[in-house]
Amino acid sequence: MNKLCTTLAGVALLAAGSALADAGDTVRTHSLEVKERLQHLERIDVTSELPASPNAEPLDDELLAILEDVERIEQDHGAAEAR
Amino acid sequence: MGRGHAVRAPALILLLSVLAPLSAEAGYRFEDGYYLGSASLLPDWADTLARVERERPLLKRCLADAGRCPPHLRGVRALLERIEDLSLDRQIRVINRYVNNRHYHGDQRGTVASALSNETITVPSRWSTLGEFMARGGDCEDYATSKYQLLRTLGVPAADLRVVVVLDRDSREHHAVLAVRRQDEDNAWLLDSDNQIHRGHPFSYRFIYALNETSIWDHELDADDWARMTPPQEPTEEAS
Repeated sequence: MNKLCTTLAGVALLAAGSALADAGDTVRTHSLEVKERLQHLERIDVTSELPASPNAEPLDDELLAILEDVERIEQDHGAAEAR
Repeated sequence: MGRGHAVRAPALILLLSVLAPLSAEAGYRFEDGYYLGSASLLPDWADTLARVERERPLLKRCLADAGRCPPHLRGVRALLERIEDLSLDRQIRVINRYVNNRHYHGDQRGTVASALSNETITVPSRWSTLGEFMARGGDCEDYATSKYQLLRTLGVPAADLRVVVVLDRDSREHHAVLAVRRQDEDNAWLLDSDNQIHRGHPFSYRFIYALNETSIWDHELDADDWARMTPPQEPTEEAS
């Protein structure tokens, strides 16, 4: 009788362990992990503001003249509101 | 003398072991990211791309005919006209400076339908089209996307351009720069909103993710993380 009880208890423990393992070791699908990653990325607040650097990329005279010319055109057409 | 060397040598080795990984940090390389999927999976970016498409005929008309160009795009027209025959290096330099001269203003939060679930989510920052940015200015990701759109208009393939979101370890804020792949260089050029063009890895930046009009790449996961996932298949040919 004792042996039978011990055996039944052992079987019950094994079954319970197996059931718990099924619940706890859920296999996460790969697509779900990518999805989680994307959900994390879409919530990142991208908002940094940087002052002009002293190490700015140098521009030669021709490029500076182009920028001045474009700025003049924008001012002439009242298009410089976003400056 | 001998004892001094014995003390200094381990200290030097320790210092080098700390500094070596920092100095060896590579610049931005298009080959390094993990492909996460289509650009449509980030709803705010997908929404911006749709607005870019809707804006395209207006920009096309503006470039073809000055008389049909709205005031906020006159400068873009003048700029593109003047730089279309320059080398790509010079086009990049002048576009970086031109866009950075625009007015900075912070983001407004918005809501978009998530592509990943059935919910509507609040996104912390909205991404602007070139036209929207020229009309009212924007913040760092708008600077990067405007440079992206100007270079695309000049014919640079999408496969050579990415908006890269970084964590600035100095300010502890996320920031966006435009990466331009250079065929003859290992590292991409990173066009920054402070007028710098980085050829290497800016010391304070940690690359988080990147996107262009076709795809999203992850730069934050390490190889072990990625090995545990089955990555989606990256298309062999990107749209250009």
